[in-house]
Amino acid sequence: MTTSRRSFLQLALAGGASLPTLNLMSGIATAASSSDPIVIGHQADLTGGISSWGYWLDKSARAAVDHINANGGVAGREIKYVAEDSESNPPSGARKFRSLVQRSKADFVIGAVHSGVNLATCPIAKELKTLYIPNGMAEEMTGSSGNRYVFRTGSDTYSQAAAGAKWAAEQLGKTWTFIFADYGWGWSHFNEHKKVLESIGATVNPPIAVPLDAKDMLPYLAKVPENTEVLYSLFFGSQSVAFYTQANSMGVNKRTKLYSVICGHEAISPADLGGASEGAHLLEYLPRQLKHQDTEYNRKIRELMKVDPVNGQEEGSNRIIAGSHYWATWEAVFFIKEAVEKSGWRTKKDTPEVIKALEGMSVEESLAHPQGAKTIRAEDHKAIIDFKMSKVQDGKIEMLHAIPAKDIVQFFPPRVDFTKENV
Amino acid sequence: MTGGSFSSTRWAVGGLLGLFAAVIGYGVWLEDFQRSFLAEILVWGVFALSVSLVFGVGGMLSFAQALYFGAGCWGYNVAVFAYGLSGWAPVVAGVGAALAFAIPTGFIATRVRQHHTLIVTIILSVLVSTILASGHWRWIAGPYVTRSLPEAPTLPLGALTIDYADEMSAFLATATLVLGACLLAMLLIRSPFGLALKAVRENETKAAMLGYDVRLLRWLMFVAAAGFAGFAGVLYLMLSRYSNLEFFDWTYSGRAVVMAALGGLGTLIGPFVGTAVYLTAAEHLSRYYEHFMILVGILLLVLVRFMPDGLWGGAIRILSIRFSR
Repeated sequence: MTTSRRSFLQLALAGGASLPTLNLMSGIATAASSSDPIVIGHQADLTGGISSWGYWLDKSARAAVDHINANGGVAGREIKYVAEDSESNPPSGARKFRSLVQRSKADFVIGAVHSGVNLATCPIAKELKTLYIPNGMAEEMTGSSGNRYVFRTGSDTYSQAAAGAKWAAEQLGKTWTFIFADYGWGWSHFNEHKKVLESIGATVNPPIAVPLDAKDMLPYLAKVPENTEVLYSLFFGSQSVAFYTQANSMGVNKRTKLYSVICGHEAISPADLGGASEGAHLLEYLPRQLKHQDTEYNRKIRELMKVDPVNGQEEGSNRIIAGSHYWATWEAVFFIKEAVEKSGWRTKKDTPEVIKALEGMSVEESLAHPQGAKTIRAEDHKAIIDFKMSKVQDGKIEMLHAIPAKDIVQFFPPRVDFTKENV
Repeated sequence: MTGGSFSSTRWAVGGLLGLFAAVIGYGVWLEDFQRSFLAEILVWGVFALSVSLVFGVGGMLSFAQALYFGAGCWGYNVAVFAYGLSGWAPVVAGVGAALAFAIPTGFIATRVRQHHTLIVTIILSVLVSTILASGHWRWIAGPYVTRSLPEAPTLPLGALTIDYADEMSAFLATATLVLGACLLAMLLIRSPFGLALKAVRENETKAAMLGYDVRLLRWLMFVAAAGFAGFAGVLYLMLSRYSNLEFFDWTYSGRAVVMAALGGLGTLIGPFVGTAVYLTAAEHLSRYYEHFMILVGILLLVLVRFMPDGLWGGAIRILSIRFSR
């Protein structure tokens, strides 16, 4: 984002004046030819609620583009990367998607990690006939709210429940209580897990939904029933810190086993929690520590991200990597490259061919796919990925064992079939 | 409209039609992204207009407008998803839901005065959005609000059918519907009801002594303004095919208050000018500078300091002084 002072002032002035300047920024649309750069847009959450994650998704996508451009491009063509800020806000995010497609002429768009932004964008992606790869965790994008133009390269609540709940129920205990932030994301986790747990005969206590603005967790922690063996928590940022510290001071973590997905620890170091989350089990999608998946590919991508191998802290800043999410945009750029090359895509009107190429595409673990081998399921466009079961030990997130995709895929069958839709 | 020498209704309607003709012409000439952006400005402008009515004309600083914007989305989607309706029926349902919801909530909000209105409306907003987001009550709004429309909406118009899937049609339909809302707002402001309300705003005791039912007038205005907010919700949903529980949040009301104040409270065109400036500034700046909100904030402070009656209100004032010389 380098803008000279003078040009910046001009922009500020152009922005300050109203309607008559709307058209100043527009370029003249030119017909794309097959030697022009391929434009990949990124609807990135650079400011607002989820920007601590958005930062990494942008950095990683940018690194992938630079790497590909330095190594011959896509089918001999250069990639032009354009990021616009979603402001972590659905109406702005949807507008930025339009801007990327119509103003910056993006051929493909990588989406925000904010699910609300993703859900606002899915219908527009279909109408503008643009391939869209959202990064939010809500199941709906590759379910009831998705369509043929929407693909997922990361994970979602549906597959997360399938990946972790069964093992956790067998190893940690059969009686579960859920405590979570009282909005869509928390309820989605509760509902998906409840289905899996009840199907294997585990008991699920009534949920404890905590209002979003509650900082004092004690009244809610006091409601955790005595018979609870596993306490599943799902909070964000400062509420996550409040949950772990207060659960620790009340000794709830002594009488129950804590289990959750990585999200409550994402972009946060266990050390920042002062050891309060010690002993908690976490479902990761790519280990925070390099040593647990120490491949040449992960070494390379972490080197590009400039993070240390243990805590994932960025060189020269206090940022902690969103380790289970950042790789999804890196891989999204490579999935686009592979599908373009496989389908012979030349201009945007060939996008249906890219969609068909992606449906059912399998890739091996490689620099392009450092998280591991995976398949994009044709029906619901969801990447079927490996998970890891980890535990907080001595202030570090240590992996216990890998959960291969083939062992869990039967627990989350597709709920939709986009291949029946026309493109 | 507050505008001294421009106040004859015929002039005002003519001016409004001329202005909209210019805006529509401009939109048709624009490129696709800018055209849909302009449509979005018009829609959020109607939302800001509801603030201009309830606060600028009615003297009630309401932070509950987002509730009615959300209720508009809810009503529309209930009609679509629960009853399988299409065309104009969901539009009517959306506005109807906002009006119906404003009757009891407006009754509570209009019992108090000045800053108490602000406090009560914020409490109402937080209360309602907490209830709607909570798992126990999620069945009320969850299945309807947090859903995208599967298909672009269509509006039958005599022999014609306006299809929102076509961006030009969507723009023209939105602009025309916004024009309709503006004409209605103008009638409301200039009607005996609007004038009586002005009297209430200026001096409640005097108005009461003249025989006006102050409570009823304020309540009616609150409900009417909520109808405009609900209509904005419907227009936004049709344009974007999307709504979310977030739309009920009082911070969205705050944004509308800023947009209306920026353009000129109590005026008809001001809210649209304010919305255009706010969104255009945010849109351009955010493409080049991540912390653009700081600049938008400074811009707002400068404008509020030097043009307290807003950009449009200020322009009208300056013009009036000129012409009356």
